[in-house]
Amino acid sequence: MVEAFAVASGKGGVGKTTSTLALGMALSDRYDVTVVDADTGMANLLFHTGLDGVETTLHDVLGSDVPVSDAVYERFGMRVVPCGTSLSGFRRADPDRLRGVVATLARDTDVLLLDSAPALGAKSAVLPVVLADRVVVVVQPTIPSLSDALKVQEYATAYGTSIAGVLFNRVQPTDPIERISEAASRYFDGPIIGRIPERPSPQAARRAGKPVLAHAPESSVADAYRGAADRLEIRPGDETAIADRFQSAVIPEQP
Amino acid sequence: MWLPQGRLCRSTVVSTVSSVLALALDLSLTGYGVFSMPETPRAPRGLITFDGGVPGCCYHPQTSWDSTAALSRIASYRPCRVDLYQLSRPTVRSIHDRAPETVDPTLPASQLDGDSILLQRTKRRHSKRESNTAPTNTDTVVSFLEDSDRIRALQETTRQTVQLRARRWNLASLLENDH
Ligand SMILES: Nc1ncnc2c1ncn2[C@@H]1O[C@H](COP(=O)(O)OP(=O)(O)OP(=O)(O)O)[C@@H](O)[C@H]1O
Ligand SMILES: [Mg+2]
Repeated sequence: MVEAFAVASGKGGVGKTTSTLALGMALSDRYDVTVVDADTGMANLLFHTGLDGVETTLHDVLGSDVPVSDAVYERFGMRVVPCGTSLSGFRRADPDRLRGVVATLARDTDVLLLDSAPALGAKSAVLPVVLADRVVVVVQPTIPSLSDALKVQEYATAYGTSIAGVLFNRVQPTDPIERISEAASRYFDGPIIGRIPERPSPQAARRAGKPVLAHAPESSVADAYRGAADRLEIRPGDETAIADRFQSAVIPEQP
Repeated sequence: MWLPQGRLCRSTVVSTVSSVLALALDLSLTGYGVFSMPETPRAPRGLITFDGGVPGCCYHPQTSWDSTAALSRIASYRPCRVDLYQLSRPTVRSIHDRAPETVDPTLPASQLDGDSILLQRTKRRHSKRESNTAPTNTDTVVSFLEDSDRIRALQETTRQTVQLRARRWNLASLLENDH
C-alpha cells in the first residue's frame, strides 16, 4: 500500500523541505514513510537530516549504476534518500531515471514524499507533480507565493494529480490569515491542512541537521505540523500500479 | 511581451552570456537585460529579468516563457550584445508575479555553463533576498485574492503554458485530457 505525494510550491524558500520532513516524521507514527530529495539541482534535504557527509546520494544513483538501496538512510524513523549538491553530480544525473528510482522505492513503503524543486520551467522540477498521486502545496501568505501555488495546482490538475492539501507556512502574527485562507480556499481544489507560524525553531533545527519534529518536538511549529499531517488522509493505493505508472512514464527528455 | 521602459545602465558586447549573469550580480541589477545579435540587429531579442542580480524570468519571442528554450536561444547569440536596464523593485516584483513562469534562479547559470562560483553566488544572493523580503502587506494579499478576474487570467495563462510544455517535454500523453 503506497501513496506518493509531491511537496511543491513553485516559488523557492517557502518551506518545502522543512514541511516534507515534518509531515514525514508526523506520519511515521502510523505509516512506513520514505522521503526523497527530488530537487536534484538545489538539493538541501541532506542538510536538514544531518546527511551532508554521506558517501552515496541520489546523484550517484541517477548518474551511474549505483543501486537505490545504497542511497537510502534510516533516519528519524523514516527512510531518507538525500541528493548531493555538487554541480558535477547534478550534470551527471539523468532526471529521467528518477522515475525508476521512485518505482523501486514505492514497492517497499506506505507513504512516499517527494521534496520538489522550486520553479515550474524545467521538466525535472515538474515531474514529481506529474507522477505523484497527490500534491501538498506549500504556500506563504504572500502574492508571489500564492500565484505560484495556483500555478502548481494548474500543472497538477492538467496531469490528473489531485491536491491533497494546501499548507500555509511562515505565517506572521500580523498576517490576517483567517481572511487570506478563506479567500484562498475558493481557488484551491483541496483543503487547507494547516497554518505553520513563522518561528525560530525550523531554522534552529536546520542548523542542528535535524527535522523540526526531532529537534523541537514541543514547539508550536511541530504541533502545527502534526495537526496538518492528521488532516492529510492517506488513501492506500496499489503499489504495483504506482510502480507501473512511474516506470511507464520513462520517456526521454527532448534536447 | 510588454515591459515598462527601464533606465539604460550598461551596454556591452560579450562572447558568452554567462558573463552577463555575473555582471548582473556585481551590479545587483534590478531590471532586465535585452540580448541581441550585434551583426543581425533585426533578429528577435531575448530577455532576462533580474531582482537584485538574481534571474527572475527568461523570455524569447520564439519560445515565449519557456525558460530553458529561451535560454538556449539567447546562448546561441555569439557574440551577444546586451543592454541592461534598471526598473524599480516593485515594478520588477509585479512583473514576476504576473509572469506565467519564473525561472529557477540558478537555471540560467547552470544552463549557460557558468562555473560553480557563479552558481554559488546566485544561490547565496537568492537566499539572502528571500529572507530579506519585506513583511507582507497583507491588505494587498487579500485584495489580490479577491480580484477573481486577475486570478482567472493567471490560471488561464498557466493552463496554456502547461499544454505547451507538455508537448515540448514529451509528457503530453500523461495529460488528463490529451489534446
Ligand atoms: N515556519 C517557519 N518559520 C521560520 N522559518 C522557517 C519556517 N519554515 C521554514 N523556515 C526556514 O525557511 C528557509 C527555507 O525553508 P526550506 O529550505 O524548507 O524551504 P524550501 O521551500 O525547501 O526551499 P527551496 O525552494 O530552496 O528548496 C529555511 O531557512 C527554513 O529554516
Ligand atoms: Mg528545499
